[in-house]
Amino acid sequence: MNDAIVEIAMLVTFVLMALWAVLATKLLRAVVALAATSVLVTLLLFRLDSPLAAVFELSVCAGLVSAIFLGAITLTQPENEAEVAVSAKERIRRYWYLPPLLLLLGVALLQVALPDVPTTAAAADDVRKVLWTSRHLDLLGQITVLVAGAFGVIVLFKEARKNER
Amino acid sequence: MSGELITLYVTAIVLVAVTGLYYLLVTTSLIRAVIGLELVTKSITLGLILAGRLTGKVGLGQALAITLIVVEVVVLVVAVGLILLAHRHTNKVDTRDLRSIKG
Amino acid sequence: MTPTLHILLAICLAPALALVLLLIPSRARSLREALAVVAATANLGLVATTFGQQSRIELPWLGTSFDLSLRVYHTASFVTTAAAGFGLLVTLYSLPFMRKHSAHGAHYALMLLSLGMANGAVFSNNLLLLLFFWEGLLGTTYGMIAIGHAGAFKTATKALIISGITDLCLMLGIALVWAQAHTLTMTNLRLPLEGMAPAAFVLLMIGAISKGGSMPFHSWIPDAAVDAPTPFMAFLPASIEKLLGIYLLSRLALDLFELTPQSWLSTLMMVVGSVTILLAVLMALIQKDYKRLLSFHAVSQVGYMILGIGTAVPIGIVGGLFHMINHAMYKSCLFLTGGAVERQAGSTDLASLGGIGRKMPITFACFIVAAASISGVPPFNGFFSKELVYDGALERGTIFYLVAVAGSFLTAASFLKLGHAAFLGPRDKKNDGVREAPGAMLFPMLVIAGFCIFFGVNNAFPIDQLIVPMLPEHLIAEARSAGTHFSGWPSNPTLVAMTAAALLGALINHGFGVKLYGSGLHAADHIHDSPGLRWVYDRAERRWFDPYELFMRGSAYFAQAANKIDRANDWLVVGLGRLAQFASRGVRAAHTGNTSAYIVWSLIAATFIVIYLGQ
Repeated sequence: MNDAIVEIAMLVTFVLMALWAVLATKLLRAVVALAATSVLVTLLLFRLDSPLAAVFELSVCAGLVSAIFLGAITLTQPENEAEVAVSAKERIRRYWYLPPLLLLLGVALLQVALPDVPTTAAAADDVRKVLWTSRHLDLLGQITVLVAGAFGVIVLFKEARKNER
Repeated sequence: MSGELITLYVTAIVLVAVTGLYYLLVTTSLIRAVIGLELVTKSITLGLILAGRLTGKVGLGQALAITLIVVEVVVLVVAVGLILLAHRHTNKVDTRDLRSIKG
Repeated sequence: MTPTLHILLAICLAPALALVLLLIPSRARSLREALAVVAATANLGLVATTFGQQSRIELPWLGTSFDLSLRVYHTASFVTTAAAGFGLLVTLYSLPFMRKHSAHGAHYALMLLSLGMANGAVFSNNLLLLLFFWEGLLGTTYGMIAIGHAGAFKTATKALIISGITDLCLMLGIALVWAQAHTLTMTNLRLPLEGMAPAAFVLLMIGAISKGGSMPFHSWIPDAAVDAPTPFMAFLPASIEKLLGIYLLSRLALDLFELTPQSWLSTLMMVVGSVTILLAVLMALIQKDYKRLLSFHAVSQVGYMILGIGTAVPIGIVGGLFHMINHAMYKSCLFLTGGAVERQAGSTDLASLGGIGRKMPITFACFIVAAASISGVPPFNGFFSKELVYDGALERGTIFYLVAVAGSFLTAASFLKLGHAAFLGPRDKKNDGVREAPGAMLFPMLVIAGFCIFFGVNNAFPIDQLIVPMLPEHLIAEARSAGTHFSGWPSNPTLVAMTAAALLGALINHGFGVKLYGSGLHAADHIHDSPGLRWVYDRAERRWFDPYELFMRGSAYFAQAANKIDRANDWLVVGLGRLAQFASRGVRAAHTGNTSAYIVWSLIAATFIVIYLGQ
C-alpha cells in the first residue's frame, strides 16, 4: 500500500510539473519545470524496472536538453521584463481553458476500470540483448542521426559566428 | 500491477500529452512550442515503458524508449538551430512572424 | 581480437577518427594533428598485424552473390601495410607543411578517409565491394585536390571526370564478369579469355591502370601537381593509387582471368605500358617545374609496371610488382623533397631555383638516392626491379625491351637536368636565406630513402618474402622448374651492360647539353628541338593529346545543342508550372501560414495513422 501512495504522489507531481511548465510566465522557469518533469519521468521509469532508459532520460533529457534550452534563450533573448508584464494578461486569456480541461479529462479517465496484470515481466528479456541482437538497424540509424545532429549544430553555430562579425 | 494503478498511469500520460499538445497549439513563442513538444515526448517515453511492462517485454520497451530519447535530442537540437536561424532573419522568435509559406 | 573485428577495425577506424577530427575546432590544430598521427599509426598497426593471417569474412547482404566478403591474405596485407606506412609518413610530413593551410582539418580527415578506403578496396573479396571503396577513393582524391587553393576546383573536376569515366568502365567490366560467371566473389573467379571475357578484361584493366595513372588517363596528374598540396601528390598519385591500381591489375592478370603470354591481351598491356613509358618520359624531359616534372615520371614509371605484368611471364610479373613498391617509395620521396624545396625556397619553378643543394644538404641527399633509384642506378632498388622487367620484356619481344631501355635513358637524363637545375649551379640572390627543412619533414624522406637503399642492397628480402608469395602457385612452380632466380644480382650480364650504357649515355648527353646551352635547366633542350620531336612537343604543349581537353572542346558543341533542347524543355516546364498553379488554387486556401493550423493538420493526420494501426 505504501508503494502505491509513493507512485500516486509521483504521478500527480508529474502532471503538476507539466502544467507548471506550460503556465510559467518566465521562459527560464518553464525550462526548470521541464527539467523537473524529466526527473519525475526518471523516477517513474525506475519504478517500472527500466533502469537503463531511466539513466538515459536523466542524463540526456534533464541535463543536455536544459543546457540546450538555456543556450537558445541566451542567444535569442526572447522576452524582456516589460514584454512579460504585457503578455501576462493575454496569457491568462489563452490558458485558462487548460486546467479545467485537464480536470475534466482526468476525472473521465479515472472512471475507466482496467484489469490487473500479473507482474511476471521483470527478467523476461534483457535490454542489452534486445539492443544488440534484434535491433542492429536501430543502432546504426541512431548513430547516423547523432552524427547528423552534431554536424548540424556545428554548421549552425559557425554561421552564427560569421554573422556576428 | 493492479488495475487502478494502471488507470492512474494512463491518466497521467494522457494528461501530460494533452497539456503538451495544447501548449503547442496555443503558444506563439517558438521556444515554448519546443517545450510543448518535449512534454509530449516525455509522456510517450513513459507510455512505451509502461506498455513494455504490461506486455512482459521490458527489454523491447527500454530499447524503444532509448531510441526515442536519442531521436528527441537530435530533433531538439535541429529545432533550436532552426529557431536561431529564424531569429537571425526576423530578430524575433514568434510563430506569427513566420508566414512566408502562406499560399 | 577475432579476425572479423580486426579487419573491420582496419577499414572503419581511420574514417571514424576522421569524422571525430572534423569535429575538433580549427583553433585546436595541435589536437587535430595528434589525432591524425595516432589514427595513422593505429591503422599501420592494424594492417601490419594481419601479416601471415589467412581468413575470409562473409557478411551476407542483398542475397547470395553480393555478399560483403572480405579476405585477408598475403597480397592484401602487403599492399595495405605499404599504403599505411606511406600514410603515416606523409601525415608526419604534413605537420609542418600544412600547418598554416586553411583546409587544415579537411586535409587530415581526407587522408584518413583515403587510408580506410584503400584498406577496404584491397581487403574486399567482392568486385562490387571493391568498386564501392574505389569510388570512395575517387571522392577523397577530388577533395584533396580541391582544397589546394581557390582555383584548384578546375583540376579537381578534371580528375573527377577522367577517373569517373574510367570507373564507369570498371563498373561495366564488373557487370560483364557477372554476366559471364554469375559470381562476383574474387576467390571464385577464374575466367578463361573467350567470349565476352576479353571485353570484361579490357574494361577492368582500364579501371585499374587509370587508378595507376597510366596514359591516356594521366592528364589530371600533372595539373594536380601544380594545384594540389604537395603531401597529396606524395600520398595518393605517387604511392597509394599506384599500389591500388597495380594491385587490381595483378589480380586481373594473375587470378581473375587466365592470362597467358600467347593472348593478345597480354600484348595489348605491353603496348600500353611501352607507350606510357616513352611518351610520358618525353613530356617529363621538357618540364620547367619541379613537381610537374615529377608527376610526368609518376605516369611514365607506371608503364614499367604494366609492361612487366603484361608480359605474363613470371620474371616480368615479379619485376612489375617489385617496381610497384619501389616506385611508391622513391616517387613519394621525390615529391617530399619537392615539397621541402617549395616550402623553404617558396617556389618549384626550376628557373628561380638552383644552387640550394648546399643549403639543404639532407633534402639533396634524399633526392640523390631517390633519383638514382628511379633512374635504375645500381645498387638502388629501381635498378633491380627494372632489370627484372627488362628480362621479361626481352622474352616477349626485343622492341618492348628497347623502348624500356630508351625510357630508362630519358629518365636518367631528365633527373640529371632536374637535380642540376634545382640543387646545383649558380644560386639566385633571393635564395641565399634558404634553410634546411624542419625535422618532421626530413624524417619521412630519410626513412623512405633508407628503404630505397635497403630494398636494393638486400633485394632478396622484399623479392623472396614479399613479392614472390603474391604469385599464384603454378607460376611459382613454373619459375622454379625453369631455374629462374628473381633476387640477387641480375643473371643476364648483357642486360646490365645495356643499362650501364644507357645511364652513361644519359650522363654524356647531359654534359653535352650543358655545354651547348650553358645551364642545367636547358640541358635537354636539344632533344626538345630535334627535328621530329619538335612538332610533337609543340602540339603536346597545346594539349592536343590530352583526352580531357579534346573531350571538353567537343563538349562545347554538345553544349550548344543541349542549350536548344534546354530552351524547349524550359518552355514545357513553365507551361506545366502554370498548369499546376491553376490546378492548385483550391489548396492555396489551406496554406494560411499560421503555425497552429499546421499543427492541427498534423494532429488530424496522426489520428488517422493511429486509427489505421489500431485496426
